[in-house]
Amino acid sequence: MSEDQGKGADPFGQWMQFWQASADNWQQAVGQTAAGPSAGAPDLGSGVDGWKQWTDQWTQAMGKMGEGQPFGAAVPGVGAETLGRMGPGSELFLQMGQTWLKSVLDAAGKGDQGFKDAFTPDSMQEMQNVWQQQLARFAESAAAQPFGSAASTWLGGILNLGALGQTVTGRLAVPWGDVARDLGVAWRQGLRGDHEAFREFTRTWKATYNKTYGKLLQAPALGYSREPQERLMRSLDAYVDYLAAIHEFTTLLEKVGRRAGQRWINKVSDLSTEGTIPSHRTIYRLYLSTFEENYAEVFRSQQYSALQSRMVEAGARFKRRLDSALEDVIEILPVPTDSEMKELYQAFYELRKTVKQQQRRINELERLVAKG
Amino acid sequence: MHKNSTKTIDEALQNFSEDWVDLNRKYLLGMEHLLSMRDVEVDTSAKTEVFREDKIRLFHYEPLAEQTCKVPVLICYALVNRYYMMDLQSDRSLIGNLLRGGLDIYIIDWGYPTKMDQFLTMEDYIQGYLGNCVDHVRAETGHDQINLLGVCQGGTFSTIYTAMNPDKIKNLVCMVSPIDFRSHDGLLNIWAQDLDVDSLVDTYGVIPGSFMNYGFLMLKPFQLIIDKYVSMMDIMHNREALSNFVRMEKWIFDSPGQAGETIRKFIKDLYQGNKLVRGELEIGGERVSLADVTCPLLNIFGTKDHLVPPECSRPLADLVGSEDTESMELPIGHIGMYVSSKSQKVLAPRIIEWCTEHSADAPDPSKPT
Repeated sequence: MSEDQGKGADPFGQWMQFWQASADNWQQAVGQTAAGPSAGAPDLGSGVDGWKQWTDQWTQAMGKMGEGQPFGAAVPGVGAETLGRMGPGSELFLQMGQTWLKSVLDAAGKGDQGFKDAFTPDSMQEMQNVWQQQLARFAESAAAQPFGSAASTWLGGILNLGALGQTVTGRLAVPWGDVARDLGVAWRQGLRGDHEAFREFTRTWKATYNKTYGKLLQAPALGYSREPQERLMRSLDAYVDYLAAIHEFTTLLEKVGRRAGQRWINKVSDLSTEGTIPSHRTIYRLYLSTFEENYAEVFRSQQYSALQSRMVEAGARFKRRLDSALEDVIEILPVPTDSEMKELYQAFYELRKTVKQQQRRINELERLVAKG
Repeated sequence: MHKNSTKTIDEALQNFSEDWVDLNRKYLLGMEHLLSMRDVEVDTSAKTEVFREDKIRLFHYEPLAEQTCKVPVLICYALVNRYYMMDLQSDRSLIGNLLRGGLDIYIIDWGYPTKMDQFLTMEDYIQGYLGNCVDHVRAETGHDQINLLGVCQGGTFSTIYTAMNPDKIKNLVCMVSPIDFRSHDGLLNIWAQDLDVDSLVDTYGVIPGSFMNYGFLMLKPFQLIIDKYVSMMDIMHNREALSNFVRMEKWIFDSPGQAGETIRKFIKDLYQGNKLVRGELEIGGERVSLADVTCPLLNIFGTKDHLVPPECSRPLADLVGSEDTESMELPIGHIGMYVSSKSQKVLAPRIIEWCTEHSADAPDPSKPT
């Protein structure tokens, strides 16, 4: 801005004047090029054609927006010329949406398999490349010279970084997408009484967790609070593992319960068909004996023993890690922590043992002395 | 009156209604008893504390009859649960019966270990506390050898102690004691094989009694968690029966924690390694051989014991070096061994008789040799 331009100028008034004129131009441009609701938003009901029509209107409107504007006086380099270039530039930008929309609509027409084929890692990469090229062209054409090249690099870089970020975050999300259908099927089958399906659900869920969020919780923490943060993350990870172990354990119990329930009903039915009605107490006794027998059978199995032990161990590990995380909080309080007390207990135990040994020796010596 | 079966729906509903009303009447009467019940008395036989070391106390019971057995009996109960199971109610007290039969009885109270005791080892318990109690009884009574009566895990400890100190034990009585841990029937034996006891001990230091109780309840969950309380409804109106129920309830859940290092070795070396039977157990660096138990042995176990199955106790008589052994099988369970009417009628008299007979040749400490 030159000194003369700045003298006595009212930047705020100019700014408001610019936007008012731009709005008038926009309204005029839209009014000239479109009729109906598509003037404000793309008519997606018409598919790619609707989008195309909308982007054409948008491009023309952008080109008209800057006509006769005083904005260049307030912000050097941004004026009718820049806005005029942004028109065709924005067209390029909007074409990216068109590319994406076309892929989605094509895939939708082919059902689930269509989505799988359309959004493979390769096709996603190809789409990203197209977008990146379009964006670079948009930036170059839209930005005021001599900044076109820099803007292109910057925007291209953002897209590259976005793609990389997507890859990283995709590691957390994509495996869940891969197993979502299997998990849903296993869960529904489990609810219908398929014990193995329930176990499969837990195993798949846990394996996917280990590949995704588990890694996040197991990753090394950084910075000033890395130590407590890492302990907290580890305890969360152990908690998830504990929950999985509980689920697997209770799934087995639930399976036995269903089987026992069926056998109990059969026994009651058998009694009822003998021409008499069993009393409520007889039914209750049958319930107890049938369930106890069925559970006892499973309790003796290696599978039960292993699942129970795994649950107990997972619970113990969670407690250890949580205790460790809690000590970070407790150690700022004027109370001894469990670790500190454990050291003290050990020292005290050894000291007490030494004293007892010494006392025994003294007693022995006194006895010998007394004997002469 | 409740009928097991009926012919018609009407009859069945009538039966149910009558029972329902009766059960609720008993329940309400029982609630009145419970509301007026402050606490139940257990461990009522009179006794005096004669020795104390850390949290361990040694008690000497007051005699209830003239002493017929010349040698005192030291009772070593398990670390799991409390010794007063043997003196739970006055009319069904094993200790009361033994006292009335003329035995001179001492008993060890292991106390309630806290985290401070987490480093106590089996050596500390057996050669330390148990050994010091034995020595105290020997010193107090003047007998060089005493009778040792081990109960459950206390029987395992007593056997190990006797093997390591055969000169101090005149006779050994084991009640429902696990010795051979290779059982395919005992759920505790099966579950212990997979248990990561290191993880538990490293986490808790002292294994909580509640954890032990979980294991015991899971042995028969429907009987112990459901039916026990449903059946209680039938006896609630009877104050005395309800009091006995509450006594048992108190004992079952009065569970001390387990010193970590001790239970670590007990699970790993005995339940998992079965080292006592294999002659590989070491206590304080010293190898324990059951063949070194040479004193007379009375081995008592229940054929319906689900905590310590008979096959865990039965082999003891064949494994020790004693020439004079007797095995006594009773058709009762683990708890029934202490409180059932059958055990009161049969068990106590046999222990008294056996101890008296096998102590008859003991020298009189009041007469110089």
